[in-house]
Amino acid sequence: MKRWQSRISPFLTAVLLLAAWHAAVVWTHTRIFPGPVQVLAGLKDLAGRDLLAGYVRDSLLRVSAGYLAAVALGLPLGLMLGGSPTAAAALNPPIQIMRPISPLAWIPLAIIWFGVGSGAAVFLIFLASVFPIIVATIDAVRSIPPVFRNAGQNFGLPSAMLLRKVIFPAALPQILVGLRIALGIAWLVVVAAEMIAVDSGLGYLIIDSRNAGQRYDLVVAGMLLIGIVGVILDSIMRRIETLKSVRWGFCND
Amino acid sequence: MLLPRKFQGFPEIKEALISGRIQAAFMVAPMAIALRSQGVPIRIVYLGHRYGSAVVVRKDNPARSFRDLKNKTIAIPSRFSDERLILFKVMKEYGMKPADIRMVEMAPADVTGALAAHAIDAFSMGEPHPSQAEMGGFGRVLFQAREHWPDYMSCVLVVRQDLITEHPAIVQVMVDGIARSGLWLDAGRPHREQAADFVGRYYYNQDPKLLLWALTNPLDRVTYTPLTPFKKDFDLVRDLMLESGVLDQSIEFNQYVDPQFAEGAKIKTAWKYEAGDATAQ
Amino acid sequence: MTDTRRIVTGLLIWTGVVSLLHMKYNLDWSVILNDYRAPENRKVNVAYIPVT
Repeated sequence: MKRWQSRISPFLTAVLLLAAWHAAVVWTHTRIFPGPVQVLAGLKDLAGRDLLAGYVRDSLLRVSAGYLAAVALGLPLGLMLGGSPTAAAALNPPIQIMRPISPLAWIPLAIIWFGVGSGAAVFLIFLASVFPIIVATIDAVRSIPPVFRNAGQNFGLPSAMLLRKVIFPAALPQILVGLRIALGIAWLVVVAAEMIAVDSGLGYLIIDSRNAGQRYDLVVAGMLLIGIVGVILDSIMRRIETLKSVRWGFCND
Repeated sequence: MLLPRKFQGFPEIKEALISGRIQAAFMVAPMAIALRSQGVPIRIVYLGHRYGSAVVVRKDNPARSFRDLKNKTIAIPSRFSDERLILFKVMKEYGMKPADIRMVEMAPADVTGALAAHAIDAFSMGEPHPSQAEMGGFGRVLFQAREHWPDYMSCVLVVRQDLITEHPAIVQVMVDGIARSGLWLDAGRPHREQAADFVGRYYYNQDPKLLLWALTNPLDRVTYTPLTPFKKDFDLVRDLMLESGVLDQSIEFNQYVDPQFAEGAKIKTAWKYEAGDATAQ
Repeated sequence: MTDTRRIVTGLLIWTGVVSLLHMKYNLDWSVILNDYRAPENRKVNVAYIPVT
């Protein structure tokens, strides 16, 4: 396919989807489900009340806080467990049991521990992203070719230096993939997290619009915004993966 | 003729009602008025009960009156609820400003746990949640709705207009059933004890002891007569809604209430038998 | 080949068992059947919430 065609095609898909959405709303005469025009009007209304930027910012802040806490705990723990089979065997069962529990199930406990507000929301985002980070880091460390470690040990590196100079850089490319996926998950649970009586954020926008009677234009607007911000976050993480220090892990040039 | 469907939150009921998945619902009166003013084809035909809402604080809370709850966090079931409006009414009586308290919307099922865990300072909620906090030993009723709002009402029976037009007889059967159950419940303690037992087991899936507390402690904690919608009650609700910013424009009583079924139920008498009925309320 | 067949059979049995359990325990058949009745003898869905 020519270059201009691959540039144009995503816009074409977007236009077609919007047209199909608009047509479906018009043809079915629904008075409940909003069309693209109403959603845009809803967004304008929000922006006009100076709420939009604040909502996006607050959601990003909560997700950053929860996610960074998860990285701060998950990354060292994963490196440690990846390097020590004994520790991994001891801690693996609780991690594996906690991992599949949906953040939604944690809401009642989050309220009890952190009250209603941002604390509980950050906690839920932390919970959702910490386990994928731990597991991805363990896997990354374990999949380092043994020759790297052996070479490092043959040079007589102390274990702290071995971790810093050999294991961490060798595992980094794969760790970054895990971090990107975890960020996606952290952003995914923003709606669930902001169900807990906070009063700002994109998840709150959806819950609040739902509670407000018939404001489904804002519900859909919140969904679209979450999608768009998610794509931006993901592309930033992908950009980091192409940095020189980690690119060797992905391609052979 | 009727199929009772249990829901856990008011937003879900609202969505099922406006999309036509259900034809009738018990919902908080302000939500029904707001939906009607937003153009949803529904009418209020009857009340579900009177009283039965209370503001509850933790047992160790020294508050003696609502004034002492200044700058505290209070949970309400929905912005469109009488439990929220009564807070505004009380604040007006005490000369407080709306910004003096922080209100958070929570699913009714979550509030007792949140109160016990110090996540909120108080909640304004319908039964059986005040009873649950009292029975659990961690909650204290600061005031019952009736102390500040005579003839207080909360949940009302809302019916879609198409059901009224096409099957008025079914609506009448439903309203008659509620009227007769109401008279039967208000006839004395044995009836309430029995109602707590079978409603708890077959409909609410709640501990019958809890419902017994809510229905008998004291006996008029929740009352079931008169359930006819009166204009003065609804005008008060509407005005409080306008004042507290959850209704954009004024709407008249006869636009959102259809009184014909309550009128038709007036001649009804309490159930004769000592067993349940199928109306779930 | 036999492995593929065993995996497919296993998946089918698993899906079947889960579907049956779902239909037995999760679905409310009185509600579903009601939607397929003729309009004149369909029951009216009345929503309630366990709170006054």
